[in-house]
Amino acid sequence: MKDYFLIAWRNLLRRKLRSWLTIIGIFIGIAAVVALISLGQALQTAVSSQFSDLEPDRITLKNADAGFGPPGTTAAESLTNREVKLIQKVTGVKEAYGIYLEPVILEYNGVSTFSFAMSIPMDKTQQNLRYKAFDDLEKGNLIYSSNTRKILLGIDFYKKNIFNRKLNVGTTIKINNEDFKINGFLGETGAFTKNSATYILEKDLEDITNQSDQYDLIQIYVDDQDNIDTIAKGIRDIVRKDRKDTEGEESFSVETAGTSLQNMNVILSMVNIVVIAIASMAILIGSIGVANNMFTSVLERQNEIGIMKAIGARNISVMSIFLFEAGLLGLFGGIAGTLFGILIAWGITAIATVFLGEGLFVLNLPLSLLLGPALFSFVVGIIAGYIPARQASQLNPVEALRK
Amino acid sequence: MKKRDEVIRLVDVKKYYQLGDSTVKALDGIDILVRRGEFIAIMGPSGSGKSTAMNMIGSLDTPTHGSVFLDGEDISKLSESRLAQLRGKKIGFIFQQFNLIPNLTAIENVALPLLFQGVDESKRLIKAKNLLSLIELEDRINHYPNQLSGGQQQRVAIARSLSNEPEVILADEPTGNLDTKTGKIVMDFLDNMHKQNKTIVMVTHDPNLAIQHADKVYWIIDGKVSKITQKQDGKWTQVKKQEMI
Repeated sequence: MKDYFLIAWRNLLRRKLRSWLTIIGIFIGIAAVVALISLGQALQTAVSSQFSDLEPDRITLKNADAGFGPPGTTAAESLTNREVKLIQKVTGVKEAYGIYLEPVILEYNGVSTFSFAMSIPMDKTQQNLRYKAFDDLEKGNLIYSSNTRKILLGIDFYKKNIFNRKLNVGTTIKINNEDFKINGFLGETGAFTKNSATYILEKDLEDITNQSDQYDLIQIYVDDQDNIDTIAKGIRDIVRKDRKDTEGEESFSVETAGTSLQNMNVILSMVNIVVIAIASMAILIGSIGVANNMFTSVLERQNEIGIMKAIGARNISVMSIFLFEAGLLGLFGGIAGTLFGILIAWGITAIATVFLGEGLFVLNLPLSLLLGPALFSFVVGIIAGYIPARQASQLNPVEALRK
Repeated sequence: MKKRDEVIRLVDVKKYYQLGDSTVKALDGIDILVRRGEFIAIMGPSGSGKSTAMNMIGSLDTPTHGSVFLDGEDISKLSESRLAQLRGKKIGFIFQQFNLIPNLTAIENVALPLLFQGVDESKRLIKAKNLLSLIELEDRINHYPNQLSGGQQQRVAIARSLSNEPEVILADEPTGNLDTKTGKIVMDFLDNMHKQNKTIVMVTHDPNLAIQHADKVYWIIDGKVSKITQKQDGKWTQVKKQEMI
């Protein structure tokens, strides 16, 4: 077998240009596959890290259209205290409170920047629930009702030199032109919105944004997380009746950890389907190239096949040589494609890091992604080369020699 | 059925081809006997069927009718793969067009039949090297066919035909693509093989070549053996066909 492999290798070298062109055909397909798969995985990791603070006993009520993008920006209508009270009465609800998501201007050292401020409720029980989803602080302390005019900042403000001067616990900065003292920095999370957010007591946020009773979302905690779907339905029914919405056309949405993940998984699996579709198309085209190359080769080398048969090559020997040739074409396309695909994915990740910040979009290259595509394209090559190889092996030696 | 010294026997071999509505009788019942150590020439003008006869002798083709015995075994009904195995072991081919594999070096070409027999690489190469020195091309072992002259290529082909120690060497117009001088060198090598008791069957359209080198000549016309002549004590005599069978 090793000998047939070497002969196949020599045969490819003999038609270098054609081999290269065929390899490029496979190469493009495999590069696309590797790049798309590795980026898809990075996307999946990035997205699921965004949902890492999902709690199984929490329900979130948002107004419709407040979708996945930057929170708070698209809410059509505000949620009110009255609705919070209404929800608190639903059976199974442990606690409910409203949260503001407001864009604010942070200013320090003559530099202004924009951040999303998220409110911390004033009630102690609610605060404890609110902080439940937080990771440990990087530095400093949480804020409670007594800490008016104090804030918590996302890790970006600590690690990145946003204001050209280092911030620390105790530093006073301006938020919408009012002085606030930094009480702590949140630990690093995969959720980039959290890393760059400002956390501020509800009363303070209402003051500096001149708002009251206009929440952007309501967080609800339940007693029994196993019953969360029933409770969520109860909340949906009550709010719908209150707003006099038609069922199915609610002006709000109720999400649990389950439904959020479900929505995300639908999106991710759609991405996957597109990736697979593009990839299989590319590989199909590549394999047609291999088949084409091999058919031409069989025609050109009829005489040679005849000679080999005359000097004792069995059908299986001839077939092996041709199959190896096709497989090698696939293999080289696969190896080159894998390398190039990783390069593309790596480049896109680098660009994404520039725009989205470090740590969000991380390329993960398991061994299977490094070796799998090359092996796969070797097999694809062999499959594409099967019919030509069979044709070659079954040539009648007398007729083949006549060519 | 096998007689002593018998290597190949064609018995009433017919080969018909269908060309449109008409049947072409390439071979119309020929009998050929090749004994061990003989140098046989198959003579005939082009279109006489001598090439088809050679294909039968070389087990490249199977007859429409009749039997071909190789070493006593009837091979006329065997599968192509089995035939390939047999001829790989028992037949060595020399072609008019040399028919070396262009992307293999001289030594690799000579070793190729052994590869198909599953011989180890080291053994193959030693044997191929010895054969190449036998035909005085030991300084060309790593040359590719296109780096060799026609005569040299044909000598490589002779070495290749010997590599698996065949029962019969089949030469199809071995000098057809060579000038007189290089043709003579090639024929000298074949004569040498003959002297070393190798069995040689040569197909040619050139009567002089046949008479000079062979010791038995089958004259084929229109797919039939028209006569058989034999050299005995330097004289050519006609042999009766019946005596052959």
